[in-house]
Amino acid sequence: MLKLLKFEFLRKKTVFLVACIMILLGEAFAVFRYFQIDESVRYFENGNIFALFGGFLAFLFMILYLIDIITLLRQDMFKQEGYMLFMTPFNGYQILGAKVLFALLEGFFIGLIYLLFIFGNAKIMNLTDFEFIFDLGGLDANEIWIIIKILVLGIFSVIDFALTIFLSFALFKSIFTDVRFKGPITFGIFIVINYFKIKISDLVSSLTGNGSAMFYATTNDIVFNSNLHLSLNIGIVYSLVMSALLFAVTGYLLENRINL
Amino acid sequence: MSILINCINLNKKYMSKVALEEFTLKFEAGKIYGILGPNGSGKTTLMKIIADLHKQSSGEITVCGNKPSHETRSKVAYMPTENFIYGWMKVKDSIAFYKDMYADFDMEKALDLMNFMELDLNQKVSSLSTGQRARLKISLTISRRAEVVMLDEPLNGLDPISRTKIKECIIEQFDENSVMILSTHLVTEIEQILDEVVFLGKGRIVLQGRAEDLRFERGKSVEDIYREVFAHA
Amino acid sequence: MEFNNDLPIYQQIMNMIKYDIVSGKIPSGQKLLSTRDLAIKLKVNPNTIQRVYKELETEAVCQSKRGLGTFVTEDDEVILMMKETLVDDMVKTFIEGMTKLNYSRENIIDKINCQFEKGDQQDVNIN
Repeated sequence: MLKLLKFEFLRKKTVFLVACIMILLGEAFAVFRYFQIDESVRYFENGNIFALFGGFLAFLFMILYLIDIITLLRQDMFKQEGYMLFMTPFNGYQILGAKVLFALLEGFFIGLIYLLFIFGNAKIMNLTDFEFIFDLGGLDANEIWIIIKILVLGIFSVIDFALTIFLSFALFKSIFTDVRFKGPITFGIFIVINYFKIKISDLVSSLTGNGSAMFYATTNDIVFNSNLHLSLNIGIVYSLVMSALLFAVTGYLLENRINL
Repeated sequence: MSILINCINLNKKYMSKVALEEFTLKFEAGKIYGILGPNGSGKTTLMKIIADLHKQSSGEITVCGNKPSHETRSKVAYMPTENFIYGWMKVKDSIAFYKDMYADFDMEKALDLMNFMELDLNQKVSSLSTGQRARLKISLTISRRAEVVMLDEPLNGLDPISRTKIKECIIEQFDENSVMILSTHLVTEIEQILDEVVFLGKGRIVLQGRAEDLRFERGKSVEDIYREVFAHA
Repeated sequence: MEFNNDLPIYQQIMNMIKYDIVSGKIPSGQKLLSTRDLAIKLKVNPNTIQRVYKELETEAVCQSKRGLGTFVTEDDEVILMMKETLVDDMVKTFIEGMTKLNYSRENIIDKINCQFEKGDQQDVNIN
């Protein structure tokens, strides 16, 4: 299993390096443009510029992350080179598990880089309003607990989403082998799986009678919904159960039904 | 002699065509088999089922006594016809991958082969020529001391000197505890190293037997028999 | 070495070894290459060589000594007999071929003498 993980890391080495260089260049360009903006505009619109930047960066990272997760399995299942991996004496669950684990680690890594950029740029832009974020000492145990739960939920949701994509690939390469219109069918499978997932999630939330926002933010504090713990717990359990289910089915298909 | 692969009424159907039909054959240890047939006759499908990359539609198959699974994969060294070595790897990365993944990988032999095949360890796989890729993949595959060695079109894309070396390696590595399966439609090149030949046409066994017996009975080379069998294919 | 793939390869290798023994290229009592080494040298299946050695053994041309390998017989009589058989076979095949071309016994002998004279002349020319 470690060997598989090592392989995934080696494979992405160059991609990561290129991505890092691109992002650094982008950052340099963004900072350069920022200081070109008229000083008065910078003074009054600083917060908005920052929000725009943060939002754009988050969007960019999300897209890159998603594309990367999809290629993680897609390349091995749809390209000839995948034989090299699927011939190894590891079972379908292990091969898939290594990919999921890798996706997780990659997610953590990207999240870390994102935070680094946000804080870094906040410093560059002299934004003091955000200092409360550094002030973790001000949070009580309950709030820290909630933040941890939100992070966990976020990670599980990403895994859940990635596994949905993986399952459509696996279905396509096992039960739907050798069918025309490969692309549309794979996409159709993906839509159908997601449709069912939404249905189930609706069912779960209607059962618990909880569909409203988990929290809302004001300029200098985050106010949590009173029901937050319950809905977070449900969310985590839901995505965990879903991930486990998707993992089991995909792993089974990879191990027992695959036609590469 | 022990049976390493046992196929009983193996069928493989794809939506548009039948790739393998009622294929029944025992592969014994200590022999080199040639699966001969034109393109699309089911040679690759058979190998992929044995290698656990494809699943049969019906029928039974055991490899080293077990149904094909990740466990049998550790005993099967398979070289697909495709360029299956990751393009992002350097030659040395691909060797390290094999070393990591397979307990039966013989590092010394691999390095020796790379040297002979004049493959630069630091070159990227994606920048190798067709011939160099062919040499790399066969070198990696036969550097494994596996019980089942399967080479799909082993001499394709190789120059005469490499072909000779590959034949030498096949003979050298071969022992009575393992089985070697070669598929080809270039029969002349390889017929001297075959024990058993299986003529496969449209997924079915058309003719099968010991190469020497066929030569003796028919007074013809396996190549000529091939031409005769597939004259109308 | 090139083989004629129309004939069983083991027979061709057997003949090859017999010729080498008769012509003295392989002296009597000499150890033959191991199965694998000969297979690699000739680029043929090791099982084919194994069969060659087994057949040569049944014909008493070779002896296998446990753990040591296969050796050419030291019995001169066997080698002599083998030589006789090979020569007889060759002459027989030759005569059969010539007879098919309607050559009489005298014509064949004439032809042979003629060919030898030509050959002698060529030798002279070369020298």
